[in-house]
Amino acid sequence: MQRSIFKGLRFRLALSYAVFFAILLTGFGFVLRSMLRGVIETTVQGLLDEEWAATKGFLRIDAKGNLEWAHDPTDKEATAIVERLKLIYMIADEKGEVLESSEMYREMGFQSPALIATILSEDKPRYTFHPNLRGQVFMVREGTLSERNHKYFVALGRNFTPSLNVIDQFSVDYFIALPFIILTAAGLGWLLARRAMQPVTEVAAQVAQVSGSNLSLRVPLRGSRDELDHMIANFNGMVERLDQSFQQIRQFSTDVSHELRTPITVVRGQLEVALMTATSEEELRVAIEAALIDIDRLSQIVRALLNLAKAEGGQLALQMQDLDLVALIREVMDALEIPAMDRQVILRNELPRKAVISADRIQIERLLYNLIDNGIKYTRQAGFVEVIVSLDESSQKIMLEIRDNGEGIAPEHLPHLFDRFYRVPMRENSGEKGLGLGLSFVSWIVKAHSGDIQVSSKLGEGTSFRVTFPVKIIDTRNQIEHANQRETAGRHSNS
Amino acid sequence: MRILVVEDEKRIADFLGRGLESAGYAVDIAPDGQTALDLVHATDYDLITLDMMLPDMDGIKVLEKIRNRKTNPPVLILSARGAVEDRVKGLELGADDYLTKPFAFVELLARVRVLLRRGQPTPEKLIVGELTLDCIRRKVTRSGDNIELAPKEFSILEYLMRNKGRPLSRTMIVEHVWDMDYDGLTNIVDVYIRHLRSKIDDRYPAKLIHTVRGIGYMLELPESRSEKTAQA
Repeated sequence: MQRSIFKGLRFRLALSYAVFFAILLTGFGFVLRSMLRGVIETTVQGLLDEEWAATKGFLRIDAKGNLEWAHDPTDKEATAIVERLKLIYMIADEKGEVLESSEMYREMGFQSPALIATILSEDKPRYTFHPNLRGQVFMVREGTLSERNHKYFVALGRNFTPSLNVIDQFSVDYFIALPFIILTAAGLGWLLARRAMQPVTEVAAQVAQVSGSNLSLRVPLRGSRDELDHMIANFNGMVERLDQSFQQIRQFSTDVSHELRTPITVVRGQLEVALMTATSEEELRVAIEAALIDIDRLSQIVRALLNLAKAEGGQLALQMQDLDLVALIREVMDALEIPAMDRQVILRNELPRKAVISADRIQIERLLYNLIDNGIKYTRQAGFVEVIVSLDESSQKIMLEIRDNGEGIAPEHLPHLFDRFYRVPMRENSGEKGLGLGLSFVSWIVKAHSGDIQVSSKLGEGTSFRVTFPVKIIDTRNQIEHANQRETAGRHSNS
Repeated sequence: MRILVVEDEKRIADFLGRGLESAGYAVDIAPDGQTALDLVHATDYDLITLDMMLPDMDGIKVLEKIRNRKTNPPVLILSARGAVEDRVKGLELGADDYLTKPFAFVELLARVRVLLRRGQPTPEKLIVGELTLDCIRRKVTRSGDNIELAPKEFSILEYLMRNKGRPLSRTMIVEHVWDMDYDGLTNIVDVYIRHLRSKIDDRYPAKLIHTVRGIGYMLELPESRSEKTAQA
């Protein structure tokens, strides 16, 4: 796969890093600017407040409204302060008439009488900005001075332009530097992204090796317990499952080919040899009949395989309906009575009155046939096969148990019992050979019904299959039926 | 000639026994590995056919035990496992030939005939009628005429001449001459045989290479062929 550098993670990482930095630093610049302005304003306000206090100390206003800056002319310091105070100021009476003002203040223009009245009615001083005609900006403290029951409007100003210049200079410097900072950040991001992507690139190479060559390989964990290790672990898990299913498929096709080869060999050999050696029509007839039996078996295998493949491929749609398991069990047991009688096996049951599950009738029937028929096949003469349905109180599930007192299955075979084509090696006289597909189909049916199947067995004592299904309705009113042992073997009492 | 058939599938053993007997061999059947070993111990067999999956032990094990004995009859493996690895494994462990189930009985018979011939000394010069093949100088002459053959053609002719009078299947020829699994490409044999015939047979009245229907090819003098049919 051709990887474009502009679409690569590294580029995108570096780019988003740069964009992020640009936005952050721009925002930070504005915040810094307004903070700086705030600090300066507070400082200037503080200075104005000090001047206000000094003004209050020096300024005397008599009842007629005459102003006097009371200070000792010989005190140089006091004189300098008063001179400084009188640089930018304006004093007005309650009507808004200007009593005194400085030249610089006049250049800014006076407040209107209405505004003065408003300010006088307020307790707090105001700080406002006033430009003059020369483009300078002044910060003005407008406040009230009370003297002998009269209120006077006093405004003191300070030139704010130098402070504004400081702020502007800062902004210009900052935003000129910004692109360089961002470029550096982008470069750094590019390098960092390479560092971050390095393990990913390495792992990608290893992954390519695994998926390309051998599913039994695993990508080694890096031991850093980070996201990448997490991903590697997940990837390894995925490969593991893939490998397993590949092996299953391989095993399956080996098994299928083996299962099909044997009957084909038999058919082919029988016919060929008959053709070579037969001297009478009768001999040919025997060979052809034997071949037909094998062909039957072949088609059985093919049909069973097809069903299983359909089921496992999800093509078999289940027709779920409310199904009375008890009624179905009775039907199946009836149908299997003759084969059971043939082998002198007693069929018996222990069933509630009713046990309804949501299930596909055909599949459950198939399951019952398989399990009960197996029991009959592998039980010694005069043995029994018992079908028990009960409610498992703890899990609220229907428990279907099918057990026999037959030959039992050796423990080493139990784990493979539901594998396809797995046949427990039997004693020679056990007669017919199964296809080895029945139980794997049963297991699929149980799973498809959200059930669970378990098997336990003891050699010489018998085997028990326990299937559980989610319950819908169960009527456990006692209806225990035992085998009708007075009658012929294989008959059960509900018939 | 006595053959031991080791096969657990009764119906396969049945037809193998009948077929081989009708071809003139004495046949014993062993349904499992232990019986097979017991029989090998008691009797000298000229050939053993061995199924790889036996109820009591792996065919490979039986093969090993047979090979450990002094008498060393050729072993022909009959297996339902057709994978190349299985084949290689069987041959490496000392089997002489390997046939995958299902097989044609005539094919089995052809292989049995060739295996039974083995062990006889091989002459430097093979002569069939007026056709001579010098294995060492790799020269072929017919009625004194030099015949130029390509290496593969030479190998096929040598194989046919060594097994004079025995039909050889196309698969056997492929396996022998190309020394590999040419499954499905046996048409190549027909092409080479056509070339061989044009060089060896076409200019002469007596044809040596014969097509055996259902199996493959056989090299034989026309006289002996007619004798045989006369006998039958």
